[in-house]
Amino acid sequence: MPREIITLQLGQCGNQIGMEFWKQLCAEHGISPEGILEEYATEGTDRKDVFFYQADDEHYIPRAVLLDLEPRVINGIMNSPYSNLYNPENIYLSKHGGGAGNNWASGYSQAERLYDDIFDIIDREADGSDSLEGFVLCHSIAGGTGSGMGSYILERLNDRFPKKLIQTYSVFPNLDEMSDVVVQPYNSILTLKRLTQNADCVVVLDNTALHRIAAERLHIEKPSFAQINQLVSVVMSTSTTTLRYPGYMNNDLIGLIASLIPTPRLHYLMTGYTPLSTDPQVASVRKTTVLDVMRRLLQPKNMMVSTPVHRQANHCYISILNIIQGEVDPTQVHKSLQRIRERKLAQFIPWGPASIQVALSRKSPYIQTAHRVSGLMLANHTSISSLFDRTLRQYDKLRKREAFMDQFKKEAVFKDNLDEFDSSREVLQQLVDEYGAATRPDYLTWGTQQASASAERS
Amino acid sequence: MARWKGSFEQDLKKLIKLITGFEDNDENFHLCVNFSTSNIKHHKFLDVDSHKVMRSVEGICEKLRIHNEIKNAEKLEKYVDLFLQIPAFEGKDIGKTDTHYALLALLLNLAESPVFAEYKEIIKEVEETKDEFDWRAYLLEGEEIYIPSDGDTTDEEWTDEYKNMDGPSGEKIAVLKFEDDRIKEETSVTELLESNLLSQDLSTPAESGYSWLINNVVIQYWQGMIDDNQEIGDYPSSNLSIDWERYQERTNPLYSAGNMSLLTEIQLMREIIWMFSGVSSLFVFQFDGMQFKTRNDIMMSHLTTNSLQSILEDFAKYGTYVQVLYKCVQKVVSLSFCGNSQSAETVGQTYQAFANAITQFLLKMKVDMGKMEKRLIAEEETITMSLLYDELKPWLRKVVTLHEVYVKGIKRGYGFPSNSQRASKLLSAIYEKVMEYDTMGQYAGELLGLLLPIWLQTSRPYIDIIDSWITYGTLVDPKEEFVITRNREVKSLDETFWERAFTLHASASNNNANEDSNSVQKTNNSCAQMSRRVWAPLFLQPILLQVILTGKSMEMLESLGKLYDVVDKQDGLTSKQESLYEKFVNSLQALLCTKRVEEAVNSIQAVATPSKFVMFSVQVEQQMKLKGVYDPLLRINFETLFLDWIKKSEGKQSEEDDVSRILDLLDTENLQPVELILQQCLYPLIIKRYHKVCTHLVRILKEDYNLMEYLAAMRNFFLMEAGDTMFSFYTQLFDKIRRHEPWRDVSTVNMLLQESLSAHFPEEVNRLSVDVVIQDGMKDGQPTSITDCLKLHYKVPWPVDVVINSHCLELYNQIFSFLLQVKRVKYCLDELRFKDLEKENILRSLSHEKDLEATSEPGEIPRASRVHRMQILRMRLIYFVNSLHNYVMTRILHSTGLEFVCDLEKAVDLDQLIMVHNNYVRKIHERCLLHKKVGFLKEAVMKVLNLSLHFQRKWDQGIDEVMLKTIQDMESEFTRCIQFLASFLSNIIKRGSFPHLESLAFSLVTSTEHLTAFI
Repeated sequence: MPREIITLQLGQCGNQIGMEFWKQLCAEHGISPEGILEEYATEGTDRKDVFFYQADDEHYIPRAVLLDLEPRVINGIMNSPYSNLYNPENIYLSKHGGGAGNNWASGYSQAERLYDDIFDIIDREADGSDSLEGFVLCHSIAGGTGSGMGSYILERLNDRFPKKLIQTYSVFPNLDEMSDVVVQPYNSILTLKRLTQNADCVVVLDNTALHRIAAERLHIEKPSFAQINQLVSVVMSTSTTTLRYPGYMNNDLIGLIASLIPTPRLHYLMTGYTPLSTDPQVASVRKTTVLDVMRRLLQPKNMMVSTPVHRQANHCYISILNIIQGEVDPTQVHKSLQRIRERKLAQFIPWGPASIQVALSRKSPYIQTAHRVSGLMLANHTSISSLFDRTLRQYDKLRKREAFMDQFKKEAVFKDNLDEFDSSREVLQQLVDEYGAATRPDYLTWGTQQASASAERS
Repeated sequence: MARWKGSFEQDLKKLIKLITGFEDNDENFHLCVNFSTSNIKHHKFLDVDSHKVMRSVEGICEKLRIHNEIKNAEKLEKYVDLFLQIPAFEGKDIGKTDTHYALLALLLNLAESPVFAEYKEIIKEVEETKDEFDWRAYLLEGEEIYIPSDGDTTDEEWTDEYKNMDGPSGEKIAVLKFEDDRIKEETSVTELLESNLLSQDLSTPAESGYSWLINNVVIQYWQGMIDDNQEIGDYPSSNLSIDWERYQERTNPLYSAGNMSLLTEIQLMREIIWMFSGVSSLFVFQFDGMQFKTRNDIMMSHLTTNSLQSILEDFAKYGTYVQVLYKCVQKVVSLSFCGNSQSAETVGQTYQAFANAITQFLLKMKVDMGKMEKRLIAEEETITMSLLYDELKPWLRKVVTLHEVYVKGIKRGYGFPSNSQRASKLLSAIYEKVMEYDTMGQYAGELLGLLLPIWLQTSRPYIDIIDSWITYGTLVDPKEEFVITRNREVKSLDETFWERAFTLHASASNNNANEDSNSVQKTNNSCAQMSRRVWAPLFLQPILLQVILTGKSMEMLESLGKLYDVVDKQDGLTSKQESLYEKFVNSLQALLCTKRVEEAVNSIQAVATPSKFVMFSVQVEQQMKLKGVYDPLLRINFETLFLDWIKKSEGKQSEEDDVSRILDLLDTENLQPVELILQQCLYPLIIKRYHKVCTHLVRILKEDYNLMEYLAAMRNFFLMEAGDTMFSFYTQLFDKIRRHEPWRDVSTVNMLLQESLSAHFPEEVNRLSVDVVIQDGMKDGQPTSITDCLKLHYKVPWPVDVVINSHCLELYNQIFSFLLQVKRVKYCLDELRFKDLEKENILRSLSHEKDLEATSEPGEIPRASRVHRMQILRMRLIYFVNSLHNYVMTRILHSTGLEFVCDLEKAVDLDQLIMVHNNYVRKIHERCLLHKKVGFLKEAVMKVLNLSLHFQRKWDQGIDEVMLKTIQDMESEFTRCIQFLASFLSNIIKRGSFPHLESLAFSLVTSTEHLTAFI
């Protein structure tokens, strides 16, 4: 009985990384772009039914829902070799095709209007699975569709499937391209409120860091979206690898997430992946052992979130999950863990156990990799708050000038007032505060202060 | 004389002239004449005494009569009478003149010494011409030689032996053919015959000669008729005894010599030799059933009785040994003939072989004794008792050695109830002796040469048993003398087969009681094995384990129907091949026979070559030619086809001889240490076999019977390595438990299991089932033990269940239960949602106003704060459970599993396989904290697990139901447990005694650092 996961791809960015993700999954499971099992894919020990289901004609069909308000990306997908992979009923394009114009409010409102259509699809998918584990949402937080529509869907999913997990892969905007969408802070702050309140787990994919990694680690001068998305898809596929390749441990998503997230709001996860290289020559020189991989994963330069991890001494890891792929002896893992703890390579919270968990996973037999061992780190680190802090600062700057507020005021949410902005800001500020509190030993009694503070306010 | 006067002077002169050559006028001539005439005239020449002559004639006649020449005697008498009657001399007309008698006297004197020369008998050709023709071979041509089953003594040996026996009685016995070696009886028969002959002689009243004979015939000393006229030799030393007696009589007035039989030394020596030849009823040495005693009323002329006694006692001692050996042989033989299976005392083949070996030795000794006796009889050389003693010394040493062996091996073994113990005792005893003399090196080379073949022969039945067992898989042990017996109660298709099918003879008393303990011991410790090995023969002990394993493997293969694979099949026609024993002896020969190996080979070849094979008889060939079907090519084909077989079958006949010849040929002089010999000759053969059979069995189990798949199944399901399958099974179950749905019935649980299996293991659906066993003891109220009632059942077919037996399954199930508990706790904690904790209690939200007041109760902290503390506690619990889960699943099950697979590859025989598996199961059982040793650890762990489930219930009830005190209680209990575990484990790993616990300890220690940091 698989624990199915339904993937929702929202907006331009969400569909792009979603498509890369499915490409990767197909390759790993030996499924052709048409959804037919390749002839060489004879090893039946993987578990395809978590992310795919089989149609009557044995085609593998992704449990994916593709939503967008403008046709460009989805049309691109439909013109690609993978056009036949998806269930066409699961692809929803807004009829007028106008998009959300980088406006969160527009996306949110349109989603509200399209609620029935969207949830018809989602309900159908959910009904088609035996024991749905949860949803994975791919979107960006800065645009219009992904953020606005995503926010709405998050809220509704929580209502309709209160017991199901919601994990998001949220792409944070690239700071270097700030000028492209000036209202990014608005969109971000509004989306982050929903991510904080309605998602169970947010995997932060920081475009800034991804570009930096592409440039520094992969030596690509001007990384394209496709290349960045390739990186993202690797992260996504690796983070789900324990679900798709059953081992003797970690068979469900919740098992992975539960240990990472101590309190409901602190659920933003950074990622890191190693070894990252496209050049096979580099691969041949590098030696990948378990300790090597685990040590590298702790290096800030491999983190896919551009935060000054170590510069601020206070920030620390709340928890770490390393997913190690390849042929690994468990004793080596234990040795490496011991090393890391002994040398204090990672700074941990002072109020709880130094929780480094390791999940071992197999590699796909159909993809040749140059590396014996590779690893993905999912880390709950307090320094993630610096991203929110930055967003808050930028929002405050924009808000001071009331810049671009007209576009938002047009939509229903902001028709009467801008309270939504204020509450979002408060939620985000609380989140930043909580992350800050989590760096201190008295986090145990933090709730008391919070409560008394709120009591005072009220 | 007077009538010759006057006439004789002329004759005298003539005589002188003739003799001296003097002339008449010679001065010397006159001197001579004077001398001779005076001689004749003045010396007396007596006339013949007619009576004397007559008496000597009569004497001759009587002598003739004595010599049974009655006719001649009569003739002589007649002719003498006739002669005397004739009136021919002295002008008288009557006979019996002086001249008559003078003539007779002359004849008599002439007859006595005709020319006074030594008489040389003309050696005539002996009449009985040696018969060149081999009658025996002729008569036995085409006959099958009957070889008695109990030994390999052939008739030839008997006849050989008896050819050398002297005396008529010996020959008579040679005619008697005995099928067994009842030396004792035969010898008593000789005695009987001898005495019969003698008594006949004595009893039959001979008419005239008897009384005469009785005076003339040599005294039979054994009849106690003592010749009174003690002859006294010329030498003073020969009268020593008499002198001594006289001295004694003189000095001691009370001394009485008693009635002593005087014997000559030769008589005594012959008696000694007879004694050594195994005769028990003797005159000088009296056998009282236990030992020989010297008769004390015998004496010898040149020795005092005391010294004689002391010498004879010495001999008697050895005689006793010889007799004991004969008795032993006799007993074995008689038992093996009359001893059916019903009779209480049966005798083992080992004993028979030993008896046979001893018999051979005794025969050889007897032959030697025979030769010695001949030398004595011939009296051509001086042999005294002390010389005899020296000459016999080698034999005596051997006898002593053999007797020691007998005492150690057989006599002390009589007390043992079973043949196996006796046999092994005997073999061990001989082996010990061999070793003992082996260490003595050159000084005991001769004895070693004696003992080694005896040992080899004696061990033959034993080795044959082993051979048939490990080569053909049949334990042929009719007399139950092998150290291992088949336990008939255990069927071969039983999981306990491997452990219990064969029983070592461990204890003397009750075998039944020991069977169980045996099997237990086998699984447990090796030191117990050592104690049990006592009853295996010493030489076998280093190899015993391999023998047992090979034998058991053979049996197993047989019941698997795979025996054919391992039984050597060189060619289809001859199922018989060289036996282990022969191989052993041959390799021994190769090792030792450096000196005379050529000779041996030649002799063997000489045996082999004459058996030139003729495929078809001449007649058949002629017939074929006549009928035109003669095909030379076909003939050649047939010949090549059958030649090997024929040769082999012919060689078989001489094989027995070969073996014994080889044994004789063993060059013991450059003998290496015996252990080394065994290592080089016997052990490799067994070990080779062991490797072949055992590896084959293991291979068959692995390949044909899918042992590895079953082991994998064990790990997949019991140890939950098939993560997703088991996951889907237990998560559904846990969901049911959480939702308080009924789940504790067999059908529900089985349905869940089969549903889960169908995805990846559809073939296992039929084998794996789950059972709900609700025991009263389980309801101890602990939330973790709720799943303990689940028991997995896996159908393990024979023969795999020999490895995966019910005991292992029980352990597997315990591990399964434990894993289920851990998994359940982990699952429960994972599934905790923050929303559930913070959900509004419906009842409370209705009375929201009051609730606000309730929160402001003294000592109670705000709701949000409690929520936060619950969340933090959740995180800590999750961390602990994850660490534990991780530790169990990876460090224990996975790593140990890898080691197990590695060990499994190395396992050569089934025993190792079982041991490896048992070790594996025991190890994971222990490492999963299920062993009693680590019970206190488990207690602490279980406390945390129970706490977690308790926590989960509280969580699900919502925060409003959770008081601060409850949280504090849980926190403190958790902290206590975890600190106990952490400190205990860190102590343990500091000592380094449990390396596998290190990772768990480490993760726990680091998880408590924050507690110690600011407490």
